[in-house]
Amino acid sequence: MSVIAPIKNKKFMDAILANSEFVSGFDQLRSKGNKGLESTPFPTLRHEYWKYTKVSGLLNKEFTINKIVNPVISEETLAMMGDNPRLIFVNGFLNLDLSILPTESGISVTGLSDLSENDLAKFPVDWENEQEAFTLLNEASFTDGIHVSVAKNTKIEAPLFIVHIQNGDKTGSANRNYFELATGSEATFITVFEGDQEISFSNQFSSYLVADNAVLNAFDYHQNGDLSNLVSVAIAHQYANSHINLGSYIFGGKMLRKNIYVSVLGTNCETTINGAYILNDKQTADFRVIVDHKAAHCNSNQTFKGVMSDKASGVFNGKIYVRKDSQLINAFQTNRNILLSDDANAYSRPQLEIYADDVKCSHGSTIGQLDEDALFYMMARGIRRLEAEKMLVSAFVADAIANVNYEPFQEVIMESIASKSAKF
Amino acid sequence: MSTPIISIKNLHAEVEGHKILKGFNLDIYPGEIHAIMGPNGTGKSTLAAVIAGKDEYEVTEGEVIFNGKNILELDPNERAAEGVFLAFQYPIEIPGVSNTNFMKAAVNNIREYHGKDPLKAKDFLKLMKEKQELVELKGRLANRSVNEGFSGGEKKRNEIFQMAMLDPKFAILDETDSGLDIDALKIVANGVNQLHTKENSFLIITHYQRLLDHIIPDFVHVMYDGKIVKTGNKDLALELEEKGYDWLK
Repeated sequence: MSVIAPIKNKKFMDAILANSEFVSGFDQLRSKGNKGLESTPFPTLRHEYWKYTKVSGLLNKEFTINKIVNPVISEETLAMMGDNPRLIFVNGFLNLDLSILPTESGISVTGLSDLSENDLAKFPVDWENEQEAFTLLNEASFTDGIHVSVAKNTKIEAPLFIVHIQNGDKTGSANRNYFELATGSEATFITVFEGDQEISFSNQFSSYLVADNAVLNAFDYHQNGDLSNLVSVAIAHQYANSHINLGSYIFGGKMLRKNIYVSVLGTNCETTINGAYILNDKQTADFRVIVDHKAAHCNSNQTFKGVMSDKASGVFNGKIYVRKDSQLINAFQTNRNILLSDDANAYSRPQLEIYADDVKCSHGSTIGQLDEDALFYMMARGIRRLEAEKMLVSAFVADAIANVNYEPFQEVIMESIASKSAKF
Repeated sequence: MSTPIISIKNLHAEVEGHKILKGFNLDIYPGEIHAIMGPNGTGKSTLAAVIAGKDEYEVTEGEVIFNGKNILELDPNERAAEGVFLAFQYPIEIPGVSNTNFMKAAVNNIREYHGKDPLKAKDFLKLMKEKQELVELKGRLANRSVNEGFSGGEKKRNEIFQMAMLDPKFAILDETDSGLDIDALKIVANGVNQLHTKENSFLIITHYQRLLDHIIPDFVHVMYDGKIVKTGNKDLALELEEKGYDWLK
């Protein structure tokens, strides 16, 4: 691999780092990021895990992080949230006027400005020291973030919404959010991304600490603006008897790259990671998903479904590790894709790396088209082609959203599938 | 005499360069039941698919006038909305699409085609229930995916159920009897007989005379090499059962 001097993207970095409204008190993290950037180049197509997504265009632009006033939250998001608590980030700054803090007992939200680096030392920040330039840039440039903690043996009923609104031409944002579920607790977080139609760049980092017997449900819903770019890292550690249930649903945004790392550190865990991406135009969604089984007697399941039309690209790069003494693991990984045009692309690399001998693992991927026989059958019953396609796409994606445990959100996803399909 | 419900004139069609229909002519009038018999590979199923609008068949000559319109110019869903129905020889399984949603989309797309509002949920469910009873599928299929995991008999009964739901003016039954046991055959035939009125017509494609014991055709045609070579009444079917097709070639 050729090493490109990081100086190459200096303007890109300088513009983002020029923001002076950083949350203070995280000097170690910031200097770690800055230092890392000196020796870690931004990815090119020659990078093993960035083979299919080109970021050179993004890196040639200069994004600035600045606060804006009077942001607008979409009607759809407002309707979906109902009366539930919400944390609203606008261009990466937590806006308390628009937010509604949770009132249920057992859940607390603290802004990073009220915390020190020591308070967050227990959270995972990387997987096997894998540090990409974007993640380092996040460490160096993050403006704001939250720490959510759920108390021992408490089930939080209301989902907590986290909404990221990105507005303004050439604006950037960078956040770090930390979620801590104490022993036996349960909570649901739904993160919504939306914004205007200007060029933007959002750099997100989330860390999850899931203690024994806890249940984490965390879903991302992407209705990012048409010209927006997003890179995000989600990293989780889970301990014995815990459940992690993640979902990523992508409809909007020009380029989205999502790295998801789950380390299973205790026995009898359940891990579900699902994703669906319905893309058109020149959209790209690129997933790197790692499930690392470091303990025995666990189940993990990944279901990723992609539907691409026009010149869109969907990338799934998934890997399951089963470490040497992690016996009796059931691990499954599926990535299925439908291409609706000649110029659409699907890249699928489901991989297993197994060092234990008593395990049940499978992986698979398919890339195909909508079933023409089914379309004809439906049309022969009077169903318009567009409607028939919509129904087949919804049916295809359905099992990737089956794990969503908040029904109004599931309905919103279904509606988005239908309305996105109508644009094909 | 009234005008035909469907008039097929000098129809030629081919698939991937193979000529299959070679000048097929047939007029069917309201209220009539026609049967088409004939050896394998003579174009019976192609005829059905061409009328329904499957696009892998290329019509090179001729026309199909239905309700005064040349339906060869319409999309399959428009043909269905005009009142053409094809009961498939091999009904398609559609995993993840429930029978209820499938039929709701079909009924309401057809209503929309005719400028009507969608059926109210309550009225739709009532219609579903009523028509399911006709083919003795009561409540068994509503939440299941279309044809998924259905037995051969259930699939064919589901075709007749769909036909009942859409109430077409003209229906083609493409070997609906194949693979049916005698009880299922009677259920299917009974469904067709109940739906048959003075206004609607049926074209029954079959290899066997036994279905025609239960659905009495007004005309029986023998198809060979892409066209009709002999037409008679229901007794022709008996004769074919006895003698085979060789004497007609």
